[in-house]
Amino acid sequence: MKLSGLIKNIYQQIFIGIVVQHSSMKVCVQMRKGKKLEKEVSRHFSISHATPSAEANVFVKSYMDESPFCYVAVLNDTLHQGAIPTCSMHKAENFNDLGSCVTICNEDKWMVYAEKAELNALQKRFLANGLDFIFSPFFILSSFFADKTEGKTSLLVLIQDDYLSLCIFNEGELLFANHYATKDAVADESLSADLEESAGESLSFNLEDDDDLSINIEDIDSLDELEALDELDALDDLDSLQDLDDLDDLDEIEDFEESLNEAVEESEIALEEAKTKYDAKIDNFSDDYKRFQLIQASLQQFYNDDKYNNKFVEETYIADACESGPDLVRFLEEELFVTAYKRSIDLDKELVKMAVGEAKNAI
Amino acid sequence: MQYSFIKPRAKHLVSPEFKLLFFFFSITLGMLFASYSFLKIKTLVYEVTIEQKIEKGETLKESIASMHEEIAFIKLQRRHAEGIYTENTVLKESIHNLFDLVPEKITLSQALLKEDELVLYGITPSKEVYEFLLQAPLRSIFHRSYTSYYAMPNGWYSFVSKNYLDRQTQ
Repeated sequence: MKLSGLIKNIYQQIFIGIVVQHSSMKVCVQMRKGKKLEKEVSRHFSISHATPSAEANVFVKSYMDESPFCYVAVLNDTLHQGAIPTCSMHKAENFNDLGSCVTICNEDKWMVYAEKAELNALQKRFLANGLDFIFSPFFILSSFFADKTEGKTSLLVLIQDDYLSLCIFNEGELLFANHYATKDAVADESLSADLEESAGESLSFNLEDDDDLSINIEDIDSLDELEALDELDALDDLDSLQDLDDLDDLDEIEDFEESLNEAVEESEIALEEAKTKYDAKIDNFSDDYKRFQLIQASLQQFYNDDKYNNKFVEETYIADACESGPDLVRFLEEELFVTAYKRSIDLDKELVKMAVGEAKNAI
Repeated sequence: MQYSFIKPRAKHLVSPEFKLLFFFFSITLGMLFASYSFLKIKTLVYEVTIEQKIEKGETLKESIASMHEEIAFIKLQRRHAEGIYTENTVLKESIHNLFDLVPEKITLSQALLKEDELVLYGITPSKEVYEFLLQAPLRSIFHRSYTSYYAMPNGWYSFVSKNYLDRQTQ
Protein backbone atom coordinates (compact mmCIF):
# COMPACT_ATOMS: atom_id res chain seq x y z
CA MET A 1 0.00 0.00 0.00
CA LYS A 2 1.25 3.43 -0.89
CA LEU A 3 2.10 5.86 1.91
CA SER A 4 -0.61 8.24 0.76
CA GLY A 5 -3.18 5.43 0.99
CA LEU A 6 -1.98 4.54 4.48
CA ILE A 7 -2.24 8.15 5.63
CA LYS A 8 -5.71 8.42 4.11
CA ASN A 9 -6.81 5.33 6.03
CA ILE A 10 -5.50 6.76 9.29
CA TYR A 11 -7.10 10.16 8.79
CA GLN A 12 -10.79 10.78 8.39
CA GLN A 13 -11.67 11.90 4.87
CA ILE A 14 -14.44 14.43 4.47
CA PHE A 15 -16.33 14.84 1.23
CA ILE A 16 -18.61 17.81 0.73
CA GLY A 17 -20.97 17.86 -2.23
CA ILE A 18 -22.58 21.19 -3.06
CA VAL A 19 -25.40 21.80 -5.51
CA VAL A 20 -26.12 25.46 -6.12
CA GLN A 21 -29.32 26.90 -7.52
CA HIS A 22 -30.06 30.58 -7.92
CA SER A 23 -31.73 30.95 -4.53
CA SER A 24 -30.89 27.73 -2.72
CA MET A 25 -27.94 25.54 -1.98
CA LYS A 26 -27.86 21.91 -0.93
CA VAL A 27 -24.86 20.52 0.91
CA CYS A 28 -24.11 16.89 1.67
CA VAL A 29 -21.20 16.04 3.97
CA GLN A 30 -19.85 12.50 4.22
CA MET A 31 -17.17 11.55 6.71
CA ARG A 32 -15.27 8.45 5.70
CA LYS A 33 -12.47 6.47 7.22
CA GLY A 34 -10.95 4.13 4.67
CA LYS A 35 -13.95 2.73 2.84
CA LYS A 36 -16.29 3.04 5.80
CA LEU A 37 -18.89 5.79 5.86
CA GLU A 38 -18.92 7.14 9.42
CA LYS A 39 -21.35 10.03 9.20
CA GLU A 40 -23.54 11.78 6.68
CA VAL A 41 -25.11 15.21 7.05
CA SER A 42 -27.31 17.08 4.58
CA ARG A 43 -28.32 20.73 4.85
CA HIS A 44 -30.31 23.12 2.74
CA PHE A 45 -29.50 26.85 2.69
CA SER A 46 -31.31 29.82 1.23
CA ILE A 47 -28.93 31.99 -0.75
CA SER A 48 -29.12 34.79 -3.29
CA HIS A 49 -27.50 35.15 -6.72
CA ALA A 50 -26.16 31.59 -6.57
CA THR A 51 -23.50 32.71 -4.11
CA PRO A 52 -23.06 30.81 -0.85
CA SER A 53 -24.31 32.70 2.19
CA ALA A 54 -22.12 33.35 5.22
CA GLU A 55 -24.10 30.68 7.12
CA ALA A 56 -23.41 28.12 4.39
CA ASN A 57 -19.74 29.02 4.32
CA VAL A 58 -19.51 28.64 8.10
CA PHE A 59 -21.24 25.25 7.86
CA VAL A 60 -18.84 23.99 5.19
CA LYS A 61 -15.83 25.47 6.99
CA SER A 62 -16.80 23.73 10.25
CA TYR A 63 -16.43 20.35 8.51
CA MET A 64 -13.35 21.35 6.53
CA ASP A 65 -11.55 22.09 9.80
CA GLU A 66 -12.10 18.56 11.05
CA SER A 67 -9.63 16.84 8.72
CA PRO A 68 -6.78 17.84 6.45
CA PHE A 69 -8.23 15.49 3.83
CA CYS A 70 -11.36 17.40 2.97
CA TYR A 71 -12.64 17.55 -0.61
CA VAL A 72 -15.26 20.04 -1.75
CA ALA A 73 -17.11 19.13 -4.91
CA VAL A 74 -19.60 21.32 -6.70
CA LEU A 75 -21.89 20.73 -9.65
CA ASN A 76 -21.05 22.99 -12.56
CA ASP A 77 -23.94 25.44 -12.82
CA THR A 78 -22.45 27.61 -15.53
CA LEU A 79 -24.52 28.32 -18.62
CA HIS A 80 -21.96 27.72 -21.31
CA GLN A 81 -21.30 24.06 -20.86
CA GLY A 82 -22.25 20.90 -22.63
CA ALA A 83 -21.09 17.66 -24.15
CA ILE A 84 -19.92 16.77 -27.64
CA PRO A 85 -20.04 13.31 -29.27
CA THR A 86 -16.32 13.26 -30.10
CA CYS A 87 -12.99 13.60 -28.37
CA SER A 88 -11.26 15.05 -31.41
CA MET A 89 -10.82 18.81 -31.11
CA HIS A 90 -10.84 19.02 -34.89
CA LYS A 91 -14.25 17.34 -35.19
CA ALA A 92 -15.51 19.25 -32.15
CA GLU A 93 -15.30 22.50 -34.15
CA ASN A 94 -18.43 21.37 -36.01
CA PHE A 95 -20.42 21.41 -32.79
CA ASN A 96 -19.06 24.33 -30.78
CA ASP A 97 -16.15 26.74 -30.51
CA LEU A 98 -14.07 25.28 -27.69
CA GLY A 99 -11.26 27.84 -27.87
CA SER A 100 -12.03 29.25 -24.44
CA CYS A 101 -13.30 26.03 -22.89
CA VAL A 102 -11.94 23.35 -20.60
CA THR A 103 -12.66 19.88 -21.95
CA ILE A 104 -12.63 16.40 -20.41
CA CYS A 105 -12.70 13.37 -22.65
CA ASN A 106 -14.63 10.30 -21.51
CA GLU A 107 -13.29 6.92 -22.65
CA ASP A 108 -12.15 8.49 -25.93
CA LYS A 109 -15.80 8.56 -27.07
CA TRP A 110 -17.28 11.86 -26.01
CA MET A 111 -16.31 14.90 -24.04
CA VAL A 112 -17.77 17.52 -21.77
CA TYR A 113 -16.77 21.16 -21.91
CA ALA A 114 -17.24 24.31 -19.89
CA GLU A 115 -16.25 27.92 -20.39
CA LYS A 116 -12.95 28.64 -18.64
CA ALA A 117 -13.98 32.14 -17.53
CA GLU A 118 -17.22 30.84 -16.05
CA LEU A 119 -15.37 28.10 -14.19
CA ASN A 120 -13.09 30.78 -12.75
CA ALA A 121 -16.15 32.80 -11.75
CA LEU A 122 -17.62 29.70 -10.09
CA GLN A 123 -14.41 29.19 -8.15
CA LYS A 124 -14.51 32.86 -7.13
CA ARG A 125 -18.01 32.40 -5.73
CA PHE A 126 -16.60 29.65 -3.49
CA LEU A 127 -13.40 31.51 -2.68
CA ALA A 128 -14.18 31.47 1.05
CA ASN A 129 -13.66 27.72 1.33
CA GLY A 130 -12.24 26.84 -2.06
CA LEU A 131 -13.13 23.97 -4.38
CA ASP A 132 -11.46 20.66 -5.19
CA PHE A 133 -13.75 19.29 -7.86
CA ILE A 134 -16.18 20.76 -10.36
CA PHE A 135 -18.26 18.07 -12.00
CA SER A 136 -20.27 18.30 -15.16
CA PRO A 137 -23.97 17.37 -14.87
CA PHE A 138 -23.48 15.16 -17.95
CA PHE A 139 -21.05 12.90 -16.10
CA ILE A 140 -23.56 12.70 -13.25
CA LEU A 141 -26.31 11.79 -15.72
CA SER A 142 -24.26 9.17 -17.54
CA SER A 143 -23.15 7.51 -14.31
CA PHE A 144 -26.65 7.70 -12.73
CA PHE A 145 -28.22 6.05 -15.77
CA ALA A 146 -25.14 3.94 -16.62
CA ASP A 147 -27.35 0.88 -17.27
CA LYS A 148 -29.53 2.83 -19.72
CA THR A 149 -26.84 4.31 -21.94
CA GLU A 150 -25.71 1.01 -23.41
CA GLY A 151 -29.05 0.01 -24.97
CA LYS A 152 -31.34 1.64 -27.51
CA THR A 153 -31.52 5.36 -28.14
CA SER A 154 -32.43 7.01 -24.85
CA LEU A 155 -32.91 10.57 -23.78
CA LEU A 156 -31.48 11.27 -20.31
CA VAL A 157 -32.69 14.38 -18.55
CA LEU A 158 -31.45 15.91 -15.32
CA ILE A 159 -33.93 18.28 -13.76
CA GLN A 160 -32.85 20.79 -11.17
CA ASP A 161 -34.77 23.74 -9.74
CA ASP A 162 -33.02 26.20 -12.05
CA TYR A 163 -31.31 24.04 -14.65
CA LEU A 164 -32.01 21.30 -17.10
CA SER A 165 -29.36 19.08 -18.68
CA LEU A 166 -30.19 16.51 -21.30
CA CYS A 167 -28.25 14.10 -23.43
CA ILE A 168 -29.06 11.34 -25.88
CA PHE A 169 -27.17 8.07 -25.79
CA ASN A 170 -27.25 5.15 -28.18
CA GLU A 171 -25.34 1.95 -27.40
CA GLY A 172 -22.89 3.74 -25.16
CA GLU A 173 -22.26 6.55 -27.64
CA LEU A 174 -23.31 10.11 -26.90
CA LEU A 175 -25.30 11.58 -29.77
CA PHE A 176 -26.48 14.90 -28.45
CA ALA A 177 -26.33 17.02 -25.28
CA ASN A 178 -27.52 20.38 -24.08
CA HIS A 179 -27.70 22.38 -20.89
CA TYR A 180 -30.26 25.06 -20.04
CA ALA A 181 -31.13 27.45 -17.26
CA THR A 182 -34.85 27.30 -16.59
CA LYS A 183 -35.49 30.21 -14.26
CA ASP A 184 -35.21 33.97 -13.80
CA ALA A 185 -33.73 36.44 -16.24
CA VAL A 186 -30.89 34.09 -16.98
CA ALA A 187 -33.39 31.39 -17.80
CA ASP A 188 -35.33 33.62 -20.14
CA GLU A 189 -32.19 34.54 -22.06
CA SER A 190 -31.18 30.93 -22.36
CA LEU A 191 -34.62 29.87 -23.42
CA SER A 192 -34.88 32.50 -26.16
CA ALA A 193 -31.36 31.68 -27.37
CA ASP A 194 -32.01 27.98 -27.50
CA LEU A 195 -35.38 28.29 -29.06
CA GLU A 196 -34.08 30.66 -31.71
CA GLU A 197 -32.78 27.88 -33.90
CA SER A 198 -36.04 26.00 -33.80
CA ALA A 199 -38.15 29.12 -34.11
CA GLY A 200 -38.88 28.36 -37.73
CA GLU A 201 -40.08 24.97 -36.79
CA SER A 202 -43.66 24.73 -35.60
CA LEU A 203 -43.82 24.28 -31.90
CA SER A 204 -47.39 23.17 -31.85
CA PHE A 205 -47.34 23.23 -28.08
CA ASN A 206 -48.68 26.60 -27.03
CA LEU A 207 -49.71 27.65 -23.57
CA GLU A 208 -52.81 29.59 -24.65
CA ASP A 209 -54.03 27.13 -27.26
CA ASP A 210 -53.40 23.91 -25.52
CA ASP A 211 -56.34 22.14 -24.08
CA ASP A 212 -54.18 20.17 -21.74
CA LEU A 213 -53.48 23.25 -19.79
CA SER A 214 -57.11 24.02 -19.26
CA ILE A 215 -57.67 20.45 -18.21
CA ASN A 216 -54.87 20.70 -15.75
CA ILE A 217 -56.03 23.91 -14.32
CA GLU A 218 -59.43 22.35 -13.90
CA ASP A 219 -57.79 19.46 -12.19
CA ILE A 220 -56.10 21.68 -9.74
CA ASP A 221 -58.11 21.47 -6.60
CA SER A 222 -56.09 23.97 -4.76
CA LEU A 223 -58.92 26.38 -4.85
CA ASP A 224 -60.99 23.85 -3.00
CA GLU A 225 -58.35 23.88 -0.37
CA LEU A 226 -59.15 27.47 0.31
CA GLU A 227 -61.34 26.18 3.09
CA ALA A 228 -59.21 28.26 5.30
CA LEU A 229 -61.03 31.19 3.83
CA ASP A 230 -64.15 29.86 5.42
CA GLU A 231 -62.63 30.93 8.62
CA LEU A 232 -63.38 34.39 7.46
CA ASP A 233 -66.92 33.51 8.38
CA ALA A 234 -65.71 33.90 11.83
CA LEU A 235 -66.11 37.54 11.12
CA ASP A 236 -69.83 36.91 10.84
CA ASP A 237 -69.72 36.11 14.47
CA LEU A 238 -68.93 39.69 14.95
CA ASP A 239 -72.62 40.32 14.32
CA SER A 240 -73.04 39.34 17.85
CA LEU A 241 -71.24 42.49 18.61
CA GLN A 242 -74.11 44.53 17.21
CA ASP A 243 -74.92 45.56 20.63
CA LEU A 244 -71.80 47.67 20.71
CA ASP A 245 -73.93 50.51 21.81
CA ASP A 246 -74.38 48.61 25.00
CA LEU A 247 -70.71 48.89 25.74
CA ASP A 248 -70.46 51.63 28.12
CA ASP A 249 -66.99 51.39 29.55
CA LEU A 250 -63.65 51.86 27.71
CA ASP A 251 -62.16 48.49 28.76
CA GLU A 252 -64.79 46.58 26.95
CA ILE A 253 -64.16 48.61 23.80
CA GLU A 254 -60.44 47.88 23.95
CA ASP A 255 -61.10 44.14 24.38
CA PHE A 256 -63.34 44.26 21.39
CA GLU A 257 -60.64 45.95 19.29
CA GLU A 258 -58.05 43.35 20.26
CA SER A 259 -60.28 40.41 19.43
CA LEU A 260 -61.20 42.06 16.15
CA ASN A 261 -57.53 42.53 15.21
CA GLU A 262 -56.69 38.94 16.10
CA ALA A 263 -59.51 37.63 13.96
CA VAL A 264 -58.39 39.75 11.00
CA GLU A 265 -54.76 38.60 11.37
CA GLU A 266 -55.76 34.94 11.53
CA SER A 267 -57.85 35.37 8.42
CA GLU A 268 -54.96 37.04 6.56
CA ILE A 269 -52.58 34.21 7.49
CA ALA A 270 -55.07 31.58 6.33
CA LEU A 271 -55.52 33.44 3.07
CA GLU A 272 -51.75 33.71 2.55
CA GLU A 273 -51.24 29.98 3.18
CA ALA A 274 -53.95 29.03 0.74
CA LYS A 275 -52.49 31.39 -1.86
CA THR A 276 -49.00 29.92 -1.41
CA LYS A 277 -50.34 26.39 -1.91
CA TYR A 278 -52.13 27.43 -5.02
CA ASP A 279 -49.11 29.33 -6.38
CA ALA A 280 -46.85 26.34 -5.75
CA LYS A 281 -49.11 24.11 -7.73
CA ILE A 282 -49.30 26.60 -10.58
CA ASP A 283 -45.52 27.16 -10.47
CA ASN A 284 -44.90 23.43 -10.59
CA PHE A 285 -47.06 23.08 -13.63
CA SER A 286 -45.45 26.08 -15.24
CA ASP A 287 -41.94 24.72 -14.56
CA ASP A 288 -42.81 21.31 -15.98
CA TYR A 289 -44.21 22.94 -19.05
CA LYS A 290 -41.09 25.06 -19.52
CA ARG A 291 -38.95 21.93 -19.17
CA PHE A 292 -41.11 20.10 -21.66
CA GLN A 293 -40.68 22.98 -24.12
CA LEU A 294 -36.92 22.85 -23.73
CA ILE A 295 -36.83 19.09 -24.23
CA GLN A 296 -39.07 19.38 -27.26
CA ALA A 297 -36.90 22.13 -28.75
CA SER A 298 -33.77 20.09 -28.13
CA LEU A 299 -35.27 17.05 -29.82
CA GLN A 300 -36.28 19.23 -32.79
CA GLN A 301 -32.70 20.41 -32.99
CA PHE A 302 -31.39 16.84 -32.70
CA TYR A 303 -33.71 15.50 -35.40
CA ASN A 304 -33.28 18.39 -37.83
CA ASP A 305 -29.55 19.10 -37.63
CA ASP A 306 -27.48 16.88 -39.92
CA LYS A 307 -24.34 17.13 -37.83
CA TYR A 308 -25.92 14.86 -35.24
CA ASN A 309 -26.20 11.17 -35.90
CA ASN A 310 -29.92 11.42 -35.28
CA LYS A 311 -31.98 8.40 -34.36
CA PHE A 312 -35.49 8.14 -33.01
CA VAL A 313 -35.55 8.51 -29.27
CA GLU A 314 -37.54 5.63 -27.83
CA GLU A 315 -37.15 6.12 -24.12
CA THR A 316 -36.68 9.02 -21.83
CA TYR A 317 -35.16 8.74 -18.37
CA ILE A 318 -35.57 11.70 -16.06
CA ALA A 319 -33.36 12.19 -13.03
CA ASP A 320 -35.44 14.43 -10.85
CA ALA A 321 -33.51 16.50 -8.31
CA CYS A 322 -36.28 18.98 -7.50
CA GLU A 323 -39.37 16.90 -6.78
CA SER A 324 -41.16 18.03 -9.91
CA GLY A 325 -44.76 17.11 -10.63
CA PRO A 326 -46.08 14.28 -12.82
CA ASP A 327 -46.88 16.62 -15.70
CA LEU A 328 -43.55 16.43 -17.46
CA VAL A 329 -43.74 12.65 -17.86
CA ARG A 330 -47.30 13.00 -19.13
CA PHE A 331 -46.36 15.74 -21.59
CA LEU A 332 -43.50 13.68 -22.94
CA GLU A 333 -45.56 10.55 -23.35
CA GLU A 334 -48.56 12.27 -24.89
CA GLU A 335 -46.81 14.83 -27.08
CA LEU A 336 -43.57 13.17 -28.06
CA PHE A 337 -44.72 9.53 -27.97
CA VAL A 338 -41.77 8.32 -25.95
CA THR A 339 -41.82 6.13 -22.89
CA ALA A 340 -40.75 8.28 -19.97
CA TYR A 341 -39.46 7.12 -16.61
CA LYS A 342 -38.67 9.37 -13.70
CA ARG A 343 -36.27 8.58 -10.90
CA SER A 344 -35.39 10.84 -7.96
CA ILE A 345 -31.76 11.77 -7.61
CA ASP A 346 -29.87 13.25 -4.65
CA LEU A 347 -27.45 15.36 -6.63
CA ASP A 348 -25.38 16.28 -3.61
CA LYS A 349 -24.88 12.59 -2.75
CA GLU A 350 -24.03 11.76 -6.37
CA LEU A 351 -21.45 14.54 -6.29
CA VAL A 352 -19.94 13.09 -3.14
CA LYS A 353 -19.87 9.65 -4.80
CA MET A 354 -17.94 11.07 -7.75
CA ALA A 355 -15.63 13.01 -5.43
CA VAL A 356 -14.81 9.79 -3.55
CA GLY A 357 -13.82 8.18 -6.85
CA GLU A 358 -11.73 11.17 -7.89
CA ALA A 359 -10.02 11.55 -4.51
CA LYS A 360 -8.61 8.03 -4.78
CA ASN A 361 -6.05 9.42 -7.22
CA ALA A 362 -5.30 12.53 -5.23
CA ILE A 363 -3.52 13.29 -1.93
CA MET B 1 -10.19 8.69 -15.15
CA GLN B 2 -10.61 12.36 -14.43
CA TYR B 3 -14.14 13.71 -14.24
CA SER B 4 -13.47 17.08 -12.64
CA PHE B 5 -12.78 20.31 -14.50
CA ILE B 6 -10.23 21.29 -11.86
CA LYS B 7 -7.56 19.42 -9.96
CA PRO B 8 -7.98 19.06 -6.20
CA ARG B 9 -5.90 21.27 -3.99
CA ALA B 10 -2.86 19.66 -2.40
CA LYS B 11 -3.73 18.34 1.03
CA HIS B 12 -1.36 19.10 3.85
CA LEU B 13 -1.26 17.20 7.12
CA VAL B 14 -0.13 20.29 8.96
CA SER B 15 -1.07 23.93 8.55
CA PRO B 16 1.38 26.47 7.04
CA GLU B 17 1.56 28.24 10.44
CA PHE B 18 2.60 25.00 12.13
CA LYS B 19 5.11 24.38 9.34
CA LEU B 20 6.64 27.83 9.91
CA LEU B 21 6.75 27.26 13.66
CA PHE B 22 8.25 23.83 13.16
CA PHE B 23 10.80 25.27 10.72
CA PHE B 24 11.98 27.90 13.18
CA PHE B 25 12.06 25.44 16.08
CA SER B 26 14.04 23.05 13.89
CA ILE B 27 16.48 25.83 12.98
CA THR B 28 16.89 26.76 16.67
CA LEU B 29 17.30 23.15 17.74
CA GLY B 30 19.69 22.55 14.86
CA MET B 31 21.82 25.51 15.86
CA LEU B 32 21.82 24.39 19.49
CA PHE B 33 22.78 20.89 18.48
CA ALA B 34 25.47 22.20 16.12
CA SER B 35 26.93 24.41 18.88
CA TYR B 36 26.84 21.53 21.34
CA SER B 37 28.48 19.21 18.82
CA PHE B 38 31.13 21.81 17.99
CA LEU B 39 31.99 22.32 21.66
CA LYS B 40 31.95 18.59 22.30
CA ILE B 41 34.29 17.91 19.38
CA LYS B 42 36.59 20.76 20.40
CA THR B 43 36.71 19.40 23.98
CA LEU B 44 37.53 15.93 22.65
CA VAL B 45 40.26 17.38 20.41
CA TYR B 46 41.69 19.31 23.37
CA GLU B 47 41.60 16.21 25.54
CA VAL B 48 43.41 14.21 22.87
CA THR B 49 45.98 17.01 22.45
CA ILE B 50 46.51 17.20 26.22
CA GLU B 51 47.01 13.44 26.38
CA GLN B 52 49.49 13.62 23.51
CA LYS B 53 51.38 16.46 25.24
CA ILE B 54 51.49 14.52 28.52
CA GLU B 55 52.79 11.45 26.69
CA LYS B 56 55.36 13.58 24.91
CA GLY B 57 56.42 15.08 28.31
CA GLU B 58 56.79 11.61 29.76
CA THR B 59 58.87 10.53 26.75
CA LEU B 60 61.02 13.61 27.06
CA LYS B 61 61.48 12.95 30.79
CA GLU B 62 62.51 9.39 30.02
CA SER B 63 64.94 10.54 27.32
CA ILE B 64 66.37 13.17 29.71
CA ALA B 65 66.92 10.43 32.32
CA SER B 66 68.63 8.19 29.77
CA MET B 67 70.72 11.14 28.62
CA HIS B 68 71.74 11.78 32.24
CA GLU B 69 72.75 8.14 32.50
CA GLU B 70 74.71 8.42 29.25
CA ILE B 71 76.37 11.60 30.50
CA ALA B 72 77.32 9.85 33.73
CA PHE B 73 78.69 6.87 31.77
CA ILE B 74 80.63 9.17 29.44
CA LYS B 75 82.00 11.05 32.45
CA LEU B 76 83.08 7.73 33.93
CA GLN B 77 84.67 6.71 30.66
CA ARG B 78 86.39 10.10 30.51
CA ARG B 79 87.72 9.70 34.01
CA HIS B 80 88.82 6.18 33.11
CA ALA B 81 90.49 7.49 29.93
CA GLU B 82 92.11 10.27 31.88
CA GLY B 83 93.40 7.68 34.36
CA ILE B 84 94.79 5.56 31.57
CA TYR B 85 96.29 8.62 29.93
CA THR B 86 97.86 9.67 33.20
CA GLU B 87 99.15 6.17 33.80
CA ASN B 88 100.49 6.04 30.25
CA THR B 89 102.12 9.41 30.73
CA VAL B 90 103.62 8.25 33.97
CA LEU B 91 104.74 5.02 32.28
CA LYS B 92 106.15 6.95 29.40
CA GLU B 93 107.96 9.21 31.82
CA SER B 94 109.18 6.15 33.73
CA ILE B 95 110.50 4.50 30.55
CA HIS B 96 112.00 7.76 29.49
CA ASN B 97 113.63 8.10 32.89
CA LEU B 98 114.69 4.47 32.72
CA PHE B 99 116.39 4.91 29.41
CA ASP B 100 117.93 8.13 30.73
CA LEU B 101 119.33 6.04 33.57
CA VAL B 102 121.11 3.64 31.24
CA PRO B 103 124.62 4.88 30.56
CA GLU B 104 126.13 4.84 27.11
CA LYS B 105 128.55 1.98 27.95
CA ILE B 106 125.81 -0.44 28.83
CA THR B 107 123.60 -1.81 26.11
CA LEU B 108 120.08 -3.07 26.93
CA SER B 109 118.83 -5.95 24.85
CA GLN B 110 115.45 -6.39 26.54
CA ALA B 111 113.47 -4.63 29.19
CA LEU B 112 110.32 -6.07 30.84
CA LEU B 113 108.34 -3.46 32.65
CA LYS B 114 105.60 -4.78 34.92
CA GLU B 115 103.51 -3.09 37.56
CA ASP B 116 105.90 -3.61 40.46
CA GLU B 117 108.74 -5.20 38.65
CA LEU B 118 111.43 -4.22 36.14
CA VAL B 119 113.57 -6.89 34.40
CA LEU B 120 116.46 -5.70 32.29
CA TYR B 121 118.60 -7.80 29.93
CA GLY B 122 121.74 -6.34 28.51
CA ILE B 123 125.53 -6.29 28.00
CA THR B 124 127.99 -4.46 30.15
CA PRO B 125 131.78 -4.18 29.66
CA SER B 126 132.33 -5.03 33.26
CA LYS B 127 130.45 -5.69 36.43
CA GLU B 128 131.77 -2.53 37.98
CA VAL B 129 130.52 -0.31 35.20
CA TYR B 130 127.09 -1.88 35.71
CA GLU B 131 127.14 -1.59 39.47
CA PHE B 132 128.30 2.00 39.49
CA LEU B 133 126.50 3.41 36.58
CA LEU B 134 123.19 1.46 36.61
CA GLN B 135 122.89 -0.57 39.78
CA ALA B 136 123.13 2.45 42.08
CA PRO B 137 120.23 4.50 40.51
CA LEU B 138 118.06 1.35 40.26
CA ARG B 139 118.49 0.67 43.93
CA SER B 140 117.43 4.16 44.76
CA ILE B 141 114.20 3.62 42.87
CA PHE B 142 113.31 -0.04 43.66
CA HIS B 143 113.12 -1.66 47.06
CA ARG B 144 114.83 -4.84 46.02
CA SER B 145 117.26 -5.41 43.17
CA TYR B 146 118.98 -8.61 42.04
CA THR B 147 121.50 -8.93 39.26
CA SER B 148 123.00 -12.00 37.59
CA TYR B 149 126.01 -11.86 35.22
CA TYR B 150 127.10 -14.18 32.54
CA ALA B 151 130.57 -13.89 31.13
CA MET B 152 130.75 -13.50 27.37
CA PRO B 153 133.63 -14.75 25.25
CA ASN B 154 134.79 -11.25 24.41
CA GLY B 155 135.22 -10.52 28.10
CA TRP B 156 131.97 -8.54 28.46
CA TYR B 157 129.17 -9.64 30.64
CA SER B 158 125.63 -10.33 29.86
CA PHE B 159 123.35 -9.43 32.74
CA VAL B 160 119.85 -9.91 33.99
CA SER B 161 118.67 -7.38 36.53
CA LYS B 162 115.43 -7.96 38.44
CA ASN B 163 114.04 -5.01 40.43
CA TYR B 164 110.97 -5.04 42.66
CA LEU B 165 108.83 -2.42 44.30
CA ASP B 166 107.21 -3.53 47.50
CA ARG B 167 103.61 -2.40 47.90
CA GLN B 168 103.14 -0.27 50.86
CA THR B 169 100.24 -1.39 52.97
CA GLN B 170 98.58 1.14 55.21
